[in-house]
This record gives sequence, C-alpha cells and structure tokens, in this order.
Amino acid sequence: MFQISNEDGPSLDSLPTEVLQLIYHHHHNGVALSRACLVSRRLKAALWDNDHLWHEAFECDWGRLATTAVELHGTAQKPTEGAQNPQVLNWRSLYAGPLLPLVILPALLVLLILRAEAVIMWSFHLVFIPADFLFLFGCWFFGMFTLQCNSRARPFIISCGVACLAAIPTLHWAAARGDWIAAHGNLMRSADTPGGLNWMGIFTPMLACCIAYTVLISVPIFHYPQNLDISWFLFLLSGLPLTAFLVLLGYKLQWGGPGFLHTYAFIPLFLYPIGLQIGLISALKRNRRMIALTAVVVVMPLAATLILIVLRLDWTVHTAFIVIPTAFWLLPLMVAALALSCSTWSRVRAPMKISVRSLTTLSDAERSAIEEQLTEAFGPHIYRADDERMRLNRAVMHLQREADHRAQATPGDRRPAREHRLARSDAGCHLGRAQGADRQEAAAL
Amino acid sequence: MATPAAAAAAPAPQLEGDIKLVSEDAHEFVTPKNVAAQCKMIKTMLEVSEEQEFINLPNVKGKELEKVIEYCRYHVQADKPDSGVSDNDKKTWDENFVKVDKETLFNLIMAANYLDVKSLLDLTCATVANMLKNKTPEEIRREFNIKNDLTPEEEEEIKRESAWLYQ
Repeated sequence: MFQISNEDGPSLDSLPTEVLQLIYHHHHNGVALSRACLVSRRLKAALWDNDHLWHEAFECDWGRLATTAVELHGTAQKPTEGAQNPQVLNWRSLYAGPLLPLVILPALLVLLILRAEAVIMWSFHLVFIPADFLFLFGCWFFGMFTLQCNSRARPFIISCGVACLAAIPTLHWAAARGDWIAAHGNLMRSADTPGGLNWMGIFTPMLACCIAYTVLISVPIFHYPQNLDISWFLFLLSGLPLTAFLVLLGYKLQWGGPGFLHTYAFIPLFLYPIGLQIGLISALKRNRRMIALTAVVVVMPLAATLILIVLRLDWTVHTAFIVIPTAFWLLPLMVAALALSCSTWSRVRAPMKISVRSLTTLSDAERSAIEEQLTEAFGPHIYRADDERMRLNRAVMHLQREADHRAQATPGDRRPAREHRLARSDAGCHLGRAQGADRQEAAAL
Repeated sequence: MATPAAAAAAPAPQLEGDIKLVSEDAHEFVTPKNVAAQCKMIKTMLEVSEEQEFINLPNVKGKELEKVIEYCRYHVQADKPDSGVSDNDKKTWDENFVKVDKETLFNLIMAANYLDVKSLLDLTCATVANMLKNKTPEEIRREFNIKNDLTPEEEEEIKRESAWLYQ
C-alpha cells in the first residue's frame, strides 16, 4: 500500500492528500502554493481549493495588518467564487487585497493632515503644550536653547507632533482585534526549524508599519525644509518620551486588549527609516557629522539585528518583540545623545570665542575659516546676527589699527594720544553696540 | 522553546513491559511499550488490550519501522526531566535523523502518517517542504519524479488566476 518508490525513485504525487497539505502548510508562501499547483493534476487537486492553506500563506506573507484589511475588503465582496459557504472567504482570490489598504490608508492620512493642518496646529497650540515643554527641555539639555528653539522651529515641531500622534492610532488600528501576535501562532512559527521563529512573518508587519510612519513623518520634512538640521534628532529625542508615556498610559488603561504593548514595541524600529531619511538628506547637504550620527543610529542596530538572525538565537516571543527593539532603541539613543551633547556644546561655545578673539588676534583667513565652519554647523539662516557682528568687528579692528598707527607715528604728540584714546573709546562703543545687538538677537530668538 | 516532539510526548503512558512489532516484511522489533506508545495507533491498541504480546503492522516495512522506533526511543529518553538533553540537542538530533535518501524519507512520512506519530510527521514534512523551497514546477517534477498531466488549458488557467502573486 505504501510502496511509493518506482523505478525512477519516489514520487511526491503518490503521497496522501493530507500529507501534501501538511508539507505545504510548512511553506506559508503563496508563490510556492501556486507553483505546486502547476506541477501536476494531483497536487492541484490537493492544494488549489484549500482555503485554509491559502489563508495561512496569506497571513504569513502580509501579516495581520493586511489580513484585517482584507477581511474588510472581503466582506464587501463576499459572494466570491470558490467560497465553500457564504461565511467562508476564498482567501486565494483575496490574496491581492492588502495592496489596496496598505497604500491608500497612509496616503489618506497624509492628505488629512495636510488639509486639516491649520485646524490641527491651532488645536495643538492649546493641547500639545507638553510636547513643546519636552522639546524645550531637550533643547536646554543639549545646550541648544538659544540656537534652535526659534519661532521657525516651533510650527515644525508641532507638525511633527501631529504626524507622530496620527501614527499612533494607525498602529493601534494595525493591532486591532486583540492580540494578533499571540492569536496567530503560524505567523511566529518557522517552516525551516520546528519551534523556531518565523522572522519574515515578524518583520513583514513591522516593515509595513515603518513605511506608514515614514510617509507620515515625511509631511513636515517637505513642509518645512528649512529646518532639516540637527533639530530633527532633538525632535526624536524629545518626542519619544512622550510617545512612551502615551504607550504606558494606554497599557495601563488596557486600550486595545493585550496586544497593545506588543504593537508599540514596534515604535523603536521607526527610528530606522527616519534615520535613513536624515542620512540621505545629510549626504545631500554634505554634512559629515550628521552622516556619522546617522551611521551610528541606523547601521549599528541593523547590524545587531543581522547578527542575531545569523546566530539563530533561540529568542522567545517577548524577547523578540519587546526586549530587542527596546535595547536597539536605547543604545543608539544614548550614543546619539552623547554625540549631540559633545558637538552642540562645542558649537554653542564657538561664536562666543570668536567675538572675544576677533577683536585682538584673528586674521582674515582665520575669520573666513571660522565662517565656513559656522555655515557648515548651523546653516546660513542661523547666524545673520553673526554676519552683522563680524562686520562691526571688522570696523572696530580697522579703527583700532588706525589709532595704533597714529600713536606709533607721533609718539611725543599728546593730541594723537587723546585721539587714540577717543578712537579706542569709539571702538568700545561699537563693540558695546555689537554685543548689545547680539543680546537683542538672542532675546528675540 | 519546546520542540513539537516534546509536546507530543508529554502525556507519558503508564505502560510496563515490552511488545513485539512485526513489520510488513516480517521483521520483528521488541521494544518497551512506553516507547511504542509514542505512536498513537499502537497506544490505542494497547489501551484496548494491554495483554497483547505482538502487533502486526502490515503497512510499514522493517527499515522504516526501525527508524520510527529509533525516533520514539530517543525522544522518550530525551524528554525525561533528568535526561540533561537540551532543546538544541534534540533539534540537532532531529536534523541528523532526517538526513536520509528521498525514498526512505517518503516511506518515513507514510509510516509516521499510518502510525500517527505527529512530531515525526511534522519533521519529515518540514524536510520535504525545505526540499521544495524556491523550486519551479519543472524542477519539482524532475526532483520528485512527477509526470505533468495538466493540459495546457489548465496550466494557463492556474497561471492566469495567480498572476498577481508574481507581480
């Protein structure tokens, strides 16, 4: 009965239907299923109309996010050909469904944000004060208060907050219908190693969420391109604690059932696409420091992920979903904070040094070198006041040089000495005005 | 993380003594009853009549029956709390166990299916699934000696209905 071997060797065709289905149950892959159906009539009969297999493959290929969407999509098209009864969907025919909501939903959200931006920004001025406070705290913490917290950065930060908050319900929607991670064991099971984790099944929904979030976060980027500088990192650093607070609050209040915390464990992974965006922009702007920072924030966790996958460590579900992303999040955050605090302190102090030294020792070459450094560090928009100060400093130095020259030319004459003193006093007044202008500018900022 | 084998072997039957298993080609294997009871079919038979001294298995050849007994014996030993065998060791052992030729593997699938050893069936099916991975229909036919009996119209229909999978 079970002698399946023939002259040419064993044949897959001769296995019982339930065994064939079990073999393809291990595949979790729609393409493999359709290929198998093309092998022979026997395999087609065993696999083609098996909704259970297609459903499993579907879930593993697209994740629960898409499944939920397709259930909605499928409800609208319920009298589908091939369905075994009116309540059962034909998963094979609905397989292509998730493409629609995956693309349309983020696009609709972006549109919504753009159109309702004026209203949202007005509301956020009233409601989102904690975010502003956190941002100001971040600025203060990294010594950037006077340089970055200007009136132009404020609407930018508010828009980021809008995008961030818009992303949270999106993610929550992704985790709708309870604990999809726990409820969908097939998503977690590896076809290669019994008992192992299905990494593709885990990362596919993560990737979908990351793409959605990246689209959302791109809105303020393109809306406020003048602020594409280090304040991006400050936004991330100051916004994430707020997000964490909301997550914990939601968890405490049991929003969305037990799947809630699992969903938000994805949040740290959003740093990767954002970091990649910043890296690209930095590369375009040829900002070496930002490129280096991006490399640290993005490449390091990705490398760690790859190492973990290559080593095939036996992680439990909770380790995979909570501990690893959190560790990946905290590590780059700490490195970024360290790098930022080092670089920003030196930048904040640099203009002060210039204002003192330029009166006495700086040559034109040194000054132009410092100007270049400042342009690279802060961008052209940030120190118009510095340009004015440079111009005044040059005028002061010119007056000083003239006065010194006169004093040297006529050492015995008392009038030139008096003129010298007057000239120096005049220079001092110019200097005082320049410093006063600086202070006014700082106060305005 | 527990292996499927461990999960399958969890309810250890309180069976004592040995039983003789007779294969299709009249090979006899004397094995402890608790090892043989890893096969649900044999376990059911033993529960019906504990006094049985031998069981005929007309659908399993001696070579495959020997392998199934080897598999069950290892997992009974390894699943004991004091065995000191880790999950990784079991996984490695399982991987080595299924490193056999295709004919033996297919016969093992049949034997596991007939004797109802779920963990062994899962293991062998996963092995075949791995062999099928990333293969085109033509490669699968060649590898597993399958004759293409689909008409061009049937092939065309399948391709047309699953075209979106390859987009």
